[in-house]
Amino acid sequence: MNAATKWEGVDKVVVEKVAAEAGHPAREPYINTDQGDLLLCLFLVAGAIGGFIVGYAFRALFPPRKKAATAKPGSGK
Amino acid sequence: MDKHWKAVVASVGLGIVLWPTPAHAMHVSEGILPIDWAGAWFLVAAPFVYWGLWTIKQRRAEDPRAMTLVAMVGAAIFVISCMPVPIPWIGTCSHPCGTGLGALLIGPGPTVVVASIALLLQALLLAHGGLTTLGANVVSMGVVGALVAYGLFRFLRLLRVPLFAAALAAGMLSDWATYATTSLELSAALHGDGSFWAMWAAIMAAFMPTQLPLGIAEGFVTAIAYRFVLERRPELLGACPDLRWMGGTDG
Repeated sequence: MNAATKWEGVDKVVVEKVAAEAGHPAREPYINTDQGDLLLCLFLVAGAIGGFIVGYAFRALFPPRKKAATAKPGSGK
Repeated sequence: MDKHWKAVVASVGLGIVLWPTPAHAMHVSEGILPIDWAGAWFLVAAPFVYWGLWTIKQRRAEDPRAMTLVAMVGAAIFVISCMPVPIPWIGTCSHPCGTGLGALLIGPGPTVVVASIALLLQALLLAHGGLTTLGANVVSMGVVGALVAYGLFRFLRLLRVPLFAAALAAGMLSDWATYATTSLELSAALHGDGSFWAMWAAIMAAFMPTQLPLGIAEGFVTAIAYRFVLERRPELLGACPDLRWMGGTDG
């Protein structure tokens, strides 16, 4: 495996390769965001928004457990 | 701005957006499936999406709290299914699906809906998959992934298989079934004069080195997450009528 294909997605090295060999190569997306660092930016934004939603919902569904109040001996409580 | 200039600006904007340039998409990418096959997979996916929407509507009417879990699962599937995981000894990356876990937490119908939304957003924003191949991707990841996980989990629980093992098997087989369906979609559309089964087996063999370990890892993640929810908030699963049978903490 050369450097150009190292760490490529399996859907690309398998799916697109098979399709190209069968005469149906992938075409560019209708909305092509894979230009320069645009895709990286969108991945980060999408990951951040998705992560926020997961975190917000997780906090709502699984609030932190409250620790039982521990009274110190001799504190009068 | 008058109507004439609005039309010019809209045309130029659309032209810039649709200008063809190379892309590196994942899932079944744009243009791979002939249009008749792409349309057929939309027809297959449509009733499942409708069923999922109907289920969500029913569940929302019964218990609005369930929607928070649906939203969390949807966002998790979106993030998980576009997250490339490197497999060091192969040198490639692949992504888990998350629909197995989704099916165990919110049921298969809602999982189809949230997976469809995730795949649509990935196709629109992340050059991930495609709009014409959306139906095929919904069937493989959303429909098959969710139904295999749900059906297998239910079957194993009927056999009294412990919860953790049943959830692990469901998550693992859900991942593998998704890729087996992708292989089927490709070989059905592209085998030409060759053998359908030979092409299907060849694609499966190509997926296997990466997807075998990733499926096992997804199985463990599914089992751990399912057990966490069951231990912390079992009523969340009980809130879903078709998931009540999943309750219980044996195993």
